[in-house]
Amino acid sequence: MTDWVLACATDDIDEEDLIRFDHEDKTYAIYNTDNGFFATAGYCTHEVQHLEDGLVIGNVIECPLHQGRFEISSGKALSAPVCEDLVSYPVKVEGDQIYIQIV
Amino acid sequence: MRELKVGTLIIGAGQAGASAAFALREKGYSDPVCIIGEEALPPYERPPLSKAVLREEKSLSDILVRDLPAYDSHNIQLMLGSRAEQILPQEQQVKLGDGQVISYDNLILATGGRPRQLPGKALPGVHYLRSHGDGTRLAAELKQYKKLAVIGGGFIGLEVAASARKMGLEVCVIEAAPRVLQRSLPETIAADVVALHEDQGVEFHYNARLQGFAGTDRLSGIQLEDKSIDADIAVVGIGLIPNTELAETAGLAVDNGICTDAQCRTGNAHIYAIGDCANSYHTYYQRAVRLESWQNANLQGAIVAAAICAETSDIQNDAVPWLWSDQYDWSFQVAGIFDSQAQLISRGSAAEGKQIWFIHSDGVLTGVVGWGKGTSIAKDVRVGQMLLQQGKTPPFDMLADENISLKKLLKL
Ligand SMILES: Cc1cc2nc3c(=O)[nH]c(=O)nc-3n(C[C@H](O)[C@H](O)[C@H](O)COP(=O)(O)OP(=O)(O)OC[C@H]3O[C@@H](n4cnc5c(N)ncnc54)[C@H](O)[C@@H]3O)c2cc1C
Ligand code: FES
Repeated sequence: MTDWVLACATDDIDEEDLIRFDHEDKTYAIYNTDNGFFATAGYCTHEVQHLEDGLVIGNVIECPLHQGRFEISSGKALSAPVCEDLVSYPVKVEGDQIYIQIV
Repeated sequence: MRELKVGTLIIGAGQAGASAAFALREKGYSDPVCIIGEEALPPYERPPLSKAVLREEKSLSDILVRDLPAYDSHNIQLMLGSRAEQILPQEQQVKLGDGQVISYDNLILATGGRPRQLPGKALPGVHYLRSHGDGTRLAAELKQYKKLAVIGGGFIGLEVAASARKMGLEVCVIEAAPRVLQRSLPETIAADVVALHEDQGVEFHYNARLQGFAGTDRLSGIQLEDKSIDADIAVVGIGLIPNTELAETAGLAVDNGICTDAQCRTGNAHIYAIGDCANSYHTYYQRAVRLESWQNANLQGAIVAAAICAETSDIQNDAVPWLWSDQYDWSFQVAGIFDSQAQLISRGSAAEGKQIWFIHSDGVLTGVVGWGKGTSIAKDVRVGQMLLQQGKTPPFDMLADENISLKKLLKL
């Protein structure tokens, strides 16, 4: 069963930025990049720190606490101190609504 | 005694040493790598020692640089509880405390530093904070005693003060200078930090001339020239002495740290130095700089690995320094190196929970400091760090205007 959840509207997220999205007991990060919208798990994999205050540059999100870097489209951990990837979630845009697929 | 021969030997199982070992493997280095560490523990991160570890919110396994299986899977040998006693540079060997000798092709010195001590003999109740053991001993006493005196108002001292207040102790900070953070931050900024601590009930004593500790079996007070202060526990945070003795006796150049070039090489072609112990040429500042920060330890680990793998072209010591400090639910982030007398441009306000200062000398941006709740200031400081890295000084009125996106200034 696929489970598409309405996360936000496209204009809720500034260009080259992200917002936090909480759903049930989990939290996510939804990104607006030059290459489209993406979604990953909300917490950094280094310490328990939400990425929402982090900086988006191109396809990279930097954690606000210790500047660990992840590739937004894949969730891949790019540089110390993060070594564990972020879970990433499929995203679809319908009209001006962003949905993410969480299983 | 059996003789061990390795490709790269790292002395010091700390942040920098571990980061170098993993960076070597990530770059495809395939010769044996061995880390010698005097502490019995695998490499761990020190920043939580004055924060979550003191409050017993984090244990050792939460703060390891990498978990133990990662050393196996990356084929990195850890020799813990073992001290390197001597470098024999001619022979390319290192002698350990137990007499064992290890031969190397490359040697990385990542020996960190030790807290500067006050003169006089140790008295129970007086603590220094550098190792995990120091942190857990202090944490146990903070639960047991009531009145803490923090000696030295630097970042670590203030973090300890904040942690102890959260735990309900009475806390005072004793500072020899006319104010706290005198070496690291402009006065206006330090004043905001003091205001938060005072709000939380911390007392400050400035221009303090320490005469000694009172107490026979255990600390009972602090004697200053003009007054005495009751305290049953004290933490001394008055600076770090880089561990350079091994390098010095091996004939390497030492000047406020082990001297290296911008790729962390010492004067000996087979020996490198990184982290808190190294005074490395910094290409951005065009002079040697010794940094005591977690970012520097990680970055120099990557730089030395690139140098050893002969990837010398672009990776060098040129990053604008950056550090953070957490106090209560507020945090600092500081980028750049600046004179604490330099001028400030303010953006936002601490009263609203988020204050950024751009620091400049003669109109040129030299630093960015953020002080705010949680991670609210992270983005702005990061963009500030990037402006610095690019050598840009945007118009001051734009920096001060909260309605102007800092990120846009990067593209000016
Ligand atoms: C309490 C505390 C809080 C901090 N908070 C922050 C913070 O919030 N932000 C920040 O940016 N930085 C912070 N720092 C600084 C940061 O932790 C250090 O800059 C960093 O640990 C330096 O790493 P290093 O590997 O150079 O040295 P270390 O981590 O000190 O590692 C050196 C290791 O080498 C070992 N060693 C030394 N000599 C020998 C020998 N002869 N043989 C074998 N082993 C040897 C030592 O035992 C030690 O384990 C903090 C430091 C402390 C102590
Ligand atoms: S919590 Fe994200 S890098 Fe440390």
